[in-house]
Amino acid sequence: MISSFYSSDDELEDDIEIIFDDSDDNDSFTNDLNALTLTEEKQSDNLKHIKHPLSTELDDYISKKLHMSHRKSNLNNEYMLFPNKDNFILYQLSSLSDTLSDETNEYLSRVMYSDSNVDKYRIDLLNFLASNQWNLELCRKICNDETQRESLGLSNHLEVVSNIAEDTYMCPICCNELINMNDAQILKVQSCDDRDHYACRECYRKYVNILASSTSDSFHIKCIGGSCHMNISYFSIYKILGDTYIDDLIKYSLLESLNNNNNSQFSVCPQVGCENVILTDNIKNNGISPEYVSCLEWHKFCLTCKREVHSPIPCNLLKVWINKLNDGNESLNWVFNNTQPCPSCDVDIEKMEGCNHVKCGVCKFEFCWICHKEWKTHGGSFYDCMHKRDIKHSNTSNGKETISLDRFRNYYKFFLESENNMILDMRIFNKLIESKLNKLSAAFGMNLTELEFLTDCVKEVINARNMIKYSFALLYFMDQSHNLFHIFTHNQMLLLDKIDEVSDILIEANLDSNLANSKSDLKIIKMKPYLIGNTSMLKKLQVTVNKCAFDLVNNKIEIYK
Amino acid sequence: MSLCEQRLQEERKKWRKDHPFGFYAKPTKNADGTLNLKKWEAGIPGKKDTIWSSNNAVYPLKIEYPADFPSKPPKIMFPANFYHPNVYPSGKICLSILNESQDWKPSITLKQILLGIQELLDNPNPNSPAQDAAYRAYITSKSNYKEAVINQSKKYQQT
Repeated sequence: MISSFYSSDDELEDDIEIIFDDSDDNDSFTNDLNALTLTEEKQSDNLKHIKHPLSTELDDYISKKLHMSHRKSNLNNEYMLFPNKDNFILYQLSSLSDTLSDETNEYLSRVMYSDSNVDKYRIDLLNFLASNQWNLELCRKICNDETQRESLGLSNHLEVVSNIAEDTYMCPICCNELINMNDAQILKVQSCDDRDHYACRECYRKYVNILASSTSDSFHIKCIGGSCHMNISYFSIYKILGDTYIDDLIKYSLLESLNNNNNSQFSVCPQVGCENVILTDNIKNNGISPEYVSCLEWHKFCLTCKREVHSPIPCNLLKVWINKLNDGNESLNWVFNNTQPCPSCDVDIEKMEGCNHVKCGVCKFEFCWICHKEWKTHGGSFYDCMHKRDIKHSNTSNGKETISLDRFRNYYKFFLESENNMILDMRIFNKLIESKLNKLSAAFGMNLTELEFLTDCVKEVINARNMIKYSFALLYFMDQSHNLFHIFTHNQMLLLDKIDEVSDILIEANLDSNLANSKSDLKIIKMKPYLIGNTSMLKKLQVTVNKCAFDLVNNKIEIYK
Repeated sequence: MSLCEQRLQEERKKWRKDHPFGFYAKPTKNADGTLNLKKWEAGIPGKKDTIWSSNNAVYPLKIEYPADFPSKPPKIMFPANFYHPNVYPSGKICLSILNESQDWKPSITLKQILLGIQELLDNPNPNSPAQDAAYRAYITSKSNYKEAVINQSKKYQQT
């Protein structure tokens, strides 16, 4: 759903401080790291004195890599933006180093490292973080707890078995006879002495490989022996699998924490091909007004539902709308009939067999299949459910259904029309930034900042078109006999009229053509004050539409769902 | 010889050399009379002095080894509609060591699996029920449950 266009958050731009170094010369930036200025005192302290408790190398390593970081503040929420997952992880690492107490770090370094190879630190810390869902608070707790520290799986390396008396040993997994003991072929977990738990290197490699690349519990790999619970150290796993292990680890643990609703501290930009990561502290969301954020590439998206900007329709209604759009699709019909959405993360779940106790594979939420209530508080038996599911606005009567279909087609038509108009306008915008601006600037001797009004204007038209598009989706759900409905449509039409008016002028001025046509060019330059006025008018009208939508949603006059 | 076949031959060797009393396990035969090491048939006796051992019952199992065994666990099924709280209506057994994403490890042998299933017969896990009838009876009425188990044992009686 995210279309590729630039859309920036103009009101917020003033608050943004960018530390941005995209050049290949990373080292020059190391010094600049200290210059990183943050809106919040505490945060800036964090970055300035990284205590590098583990080693100075790690610290250098992090600061070299953390060459691009960007902070943005909104009215209520604070974000940190990172160009990709690696940077995000490095930032997390630096914060972790900072949060770990000196005592813990001493312990960790003593246990984990005998030399100062940075890669070793990295893998263990990554693992530690990954296995705790990137939750620094939790990591610190574990590090400070003597008993838990022991179970971290840091020290139990795999080692080569050298003390077998016999000449040959049969690996219990592959049943190959191993003849030469000196070839370092048989491995065991350091503290495990059960002879049946020895296995050849190849079998261990396969075993570890499968576990590490599955999402189940790739962070605590145990001894290969049937019922043995000895954890294998991260470092051993890394030695067996090499760098792919780090990649897998990062990928899967990130996916896991991304899917975990309880830990929605960061999101990856949903735009195809964009790897930006956004870290959010204390996101305050009322569930009604969507929270938008722009990534470093200026892809603006909704933090709650990870879709493109969709005001004025709230996230929950948008989901219904999108499902509606796909209604004709056979496989989706199947999904609707055979699955139920997880009450916590909304992922579609299919139950093949078994009792009513269902655990979501994505967010691990446990609930009752019948009533969707949390399992812990559910009580009762595995097969009976005493509770009733709340189904709001259920409408099953056939008469209503057909009206609803007609109505849907109607609004869908408007929706598509607005989308097409938006695509047309986007074409103008792309041409404009590509070449037209430079041409105008050359022809009239104006510098580019003087011409910014044009870009602003087209941008605003596109934003407004997007709003119109989604307002039709919203209207579909609303009761048209209600007064608020009329107020909304009235404002929507005002906005639409204004868009068409401005859009016509832009098209007439032939902005989308690259041909030099000084007459129309002159005209558009002359219209500068008019266009500036209308740009702000468009903004104001959008705010009004949004307010009306808020009233509509708040008064719960939805009829179709 | 593939890793899977090599291991299965070894499993067969080990089983013939030593297996617990009352159990049986053998590879099936292909149409041309050769052994099919990937499909086995096995039988588990009920543990002594439990309701499962009434009528000297031996419960039949079908074992199917996937091509990527021992990385992946074998599929083990009781006959469909087998009466036990942790057996799905299809006959599939709900046991953590048979679950790839839980406790399966490539070092687990056939003997360990079959002993594990025998243990499960008399010690069902009420926290992960797989069928309604047996689970409900096990929870609410032990006498009904016993009766049904003993009834079932007649079906698998050994003479």
